[in-house]
Amino acid sequence: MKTRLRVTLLVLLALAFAGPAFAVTGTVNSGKIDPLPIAVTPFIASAGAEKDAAAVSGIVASDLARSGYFKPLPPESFIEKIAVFDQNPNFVSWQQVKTQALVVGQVSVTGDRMTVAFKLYDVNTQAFLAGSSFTAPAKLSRRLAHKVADMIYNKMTGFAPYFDTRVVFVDESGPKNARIKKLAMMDQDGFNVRTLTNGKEILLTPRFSPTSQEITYAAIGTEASRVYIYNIDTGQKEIVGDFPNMSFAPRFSPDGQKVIMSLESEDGRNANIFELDLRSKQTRQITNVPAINTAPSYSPDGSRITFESDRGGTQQIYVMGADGSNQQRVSFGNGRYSTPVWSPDGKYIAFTKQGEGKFGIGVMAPDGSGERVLTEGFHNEGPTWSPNSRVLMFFRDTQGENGGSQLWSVDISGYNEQQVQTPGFSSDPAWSPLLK
Amino acid sequence: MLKHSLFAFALLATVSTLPAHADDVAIRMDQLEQQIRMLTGQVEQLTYELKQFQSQKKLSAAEPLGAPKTQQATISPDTQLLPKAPTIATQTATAATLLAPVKKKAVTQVQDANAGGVEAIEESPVLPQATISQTAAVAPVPKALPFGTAKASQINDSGFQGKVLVAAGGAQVEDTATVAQPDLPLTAQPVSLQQPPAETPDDLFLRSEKALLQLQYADAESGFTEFVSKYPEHNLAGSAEFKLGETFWAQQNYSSAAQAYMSSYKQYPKGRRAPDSLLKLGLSLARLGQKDQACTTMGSVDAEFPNAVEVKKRAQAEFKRAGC
Amino acid sequence: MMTRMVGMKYAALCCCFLALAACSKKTQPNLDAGINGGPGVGQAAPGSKADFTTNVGDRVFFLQDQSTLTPEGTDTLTKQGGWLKKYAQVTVQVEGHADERGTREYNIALSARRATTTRNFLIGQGVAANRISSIAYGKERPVALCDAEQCYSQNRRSVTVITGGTN
Repeated sequence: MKTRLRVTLLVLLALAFAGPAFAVTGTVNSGKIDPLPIAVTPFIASAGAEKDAAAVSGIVASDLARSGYFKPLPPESFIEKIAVFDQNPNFVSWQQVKTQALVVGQVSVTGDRMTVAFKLYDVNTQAFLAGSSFTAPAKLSRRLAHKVADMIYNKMTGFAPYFDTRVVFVDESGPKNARIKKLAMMDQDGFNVRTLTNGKEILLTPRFSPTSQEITYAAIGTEASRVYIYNIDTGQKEIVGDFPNMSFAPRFSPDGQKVIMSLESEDGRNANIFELDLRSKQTRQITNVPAINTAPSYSPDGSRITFESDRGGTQQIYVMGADGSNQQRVSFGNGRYSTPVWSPDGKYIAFTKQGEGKFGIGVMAPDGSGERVLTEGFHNEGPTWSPNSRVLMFFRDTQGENGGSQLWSVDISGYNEQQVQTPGFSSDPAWSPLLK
Repeated sequence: MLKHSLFAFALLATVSTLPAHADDVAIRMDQLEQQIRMLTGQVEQLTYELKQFQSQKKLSAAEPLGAPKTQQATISPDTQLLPKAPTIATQTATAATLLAPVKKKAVTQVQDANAGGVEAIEESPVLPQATISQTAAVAPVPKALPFGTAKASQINDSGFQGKVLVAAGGAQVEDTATVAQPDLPLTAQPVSLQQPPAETPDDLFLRSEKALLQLQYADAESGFTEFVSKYPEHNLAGSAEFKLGETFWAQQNYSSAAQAYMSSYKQYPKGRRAPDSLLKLGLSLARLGQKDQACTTMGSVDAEFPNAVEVKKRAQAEFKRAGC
Repeated sequence: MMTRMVGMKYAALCCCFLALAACSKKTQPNLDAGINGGPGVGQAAPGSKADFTTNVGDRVFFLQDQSTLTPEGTDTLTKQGGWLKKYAQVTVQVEGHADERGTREYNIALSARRATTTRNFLIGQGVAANRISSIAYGKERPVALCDAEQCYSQNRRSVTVITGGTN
């Protein structure tokens, strides 16, 4: 099963590169982005760092390609072999290759430190566009490559970077009726997957803290669902708050000082949104409506909260002040709206939309206007934003007894839908901020 | 317009199957909450429609009115969100050569405490030539390559212009019921009716109105409902919709009343009952406990119908009375 | 005609609801008797877990997005209440579940509503509250694994699980 999926992805990627345009892998988005041809030359290696250099340039090319906005050209087609970092390239030869941008790089390893340097040129104007050098422990080589790709992406598209980020998610194994669900973390491109919990509890909806050092999640053990905070450095976890009834759907505030979540009402029929101050341990009730109020998410400035509620009979999206004032429904299309997430730039709310037997992922302005569904199908759920507010990752369930959830991403334009490869079934992704 | 009674009936049906036990209170609470949620949803929808309708009306004052624009349900990629596309013809490449490290590591359990942490990466500037040493990390080149011609597709916007159904000219049947009262007069006005074999729209209207005046609410409700569904373009359709609202109002079914007043106001904005409908919509919202929405609605009568002197007066009085 | 169309939809919904409630007895198999067979089948020792599951029925089912008991549900829970009063030392945990056709967070709360309804009913039957705990599993533990209503309807359930007090 897994092997087949991997092959499928390779085929799809090959297709993506073969056409003149970036062919999108999804079934519904046959959209078109004209990606920019770019030559990422094999990075020059210091003695003994040949493998690292090849890996780093490969990651840079791969990041750029996955964004959908670049088409890295095959190195075999290159005429000039770049051997000296501090020498101007032969632009005429690169114009012949029909690339528009050129990346030259260098990787050197000293002890356990690795330095990656690069330069970016405009081939047609022969202009130097950007360059930088990054140094870190050698084990972070993938991150160094992501930093390089980020700078190129930012310089060429004008969008903020997002490659040097992580995704926390739920790793799923075992049969569908008894899934083992573990907390897991990986780089945004699906590499460096690590599981962080043992799977004794059913782990749900993990979310990063603003520093990416902590993860808050809900877990169902032998008792009702509880909210935890997991410290990535220490591996320690603690229960958030001391509530008699179940707590779930947690998320950090933008300043990291608070966790907002749903608490089951005392009568067990409803759930309301509460905020817990992590330092003072003070709890504050924010909604007080006899309904299921859940999936809260702060606006990036922390002044407002979006959440879902069935106070109107079905799940719909609401926006309110962070103190619970002025609760307004903003979703009025056909269907149910849920799992709202405010974009890091504040301009959008992403959501899951259900209707006519389908589950889609969409975005709207915080006042509910300008709704667009980006992808739709049997079951898509739980979007999360890249820190630059350009890409949404979500999970998609496949049908059947052997089916399961996998992670996918789509550009906010609705183009470039693609699977994010993980070792097994995966769900509930949440993107980290850009790593420092 | 049968939905509310149906809903209530469904609830009752469920309730009646339950044995009378001490836990009834909990169960009834649950059902009461469900009912409240249903009402809340209706009020949300109503006020949203009202807002959309009025703002659209303002926008297209000169143009024919259409149905309020509801949001897109279809998948709609947006090319405006893309950066500009390149101009130069593209060249093919293969995936294999580019995806150097495609092999994935198996999942490894984290053992060392630090492995998950975020470690700092140091950054230093690189300049075009190593010999030219200055401070700028990034040369001041105009932003980005010429990502030139975006193939901007049509903005996929399904906003459509609907046809407005306006009750034109003098009604053949005098629409006499007084509406300047919160409740209907209890004294029936005798209307002599002869049922012809095929009932005309006017007959149907009169028959329904008579039923209302005689407090035969079920007959009035079904009559007016039949009228608006059978003769939506008849010049009494707006009045029928309004009277349907009155029928619900008289039964203190304010949620259904609000829906009907809303329809009357929205579907027949130039009908003679439009100002009354907007005012009664506001009053219904007030009865439903939606003070803010009620005040906004009643407050809009003035601007919406500057010539409806009587209704405006009444609206001002109600506005004050509701403590707006 | 927006309003009216919305109205029609509500009406249609309610009709479905009524139809379902009215017809479920005839058209649906009696799933309330538990997974191990209908009443009277078991040879289980009276007062045992098997007795409860087989002869009483350990689960009740709910309509989509509902936490209201169906007539079958109340029948089963009435029997559960009787059994629990007879074996007064038994403690139970009521598990609430939702089908897979919902979002994760909402389904947790929805399944809690179902567990609460079930627990409240049993308490109303005279079973001491401190003998009944409850837990909500959301959509995390389906029992029927097809992608069709016949499975979803089995997954929208509350299950009364004996946690102690039997031999």
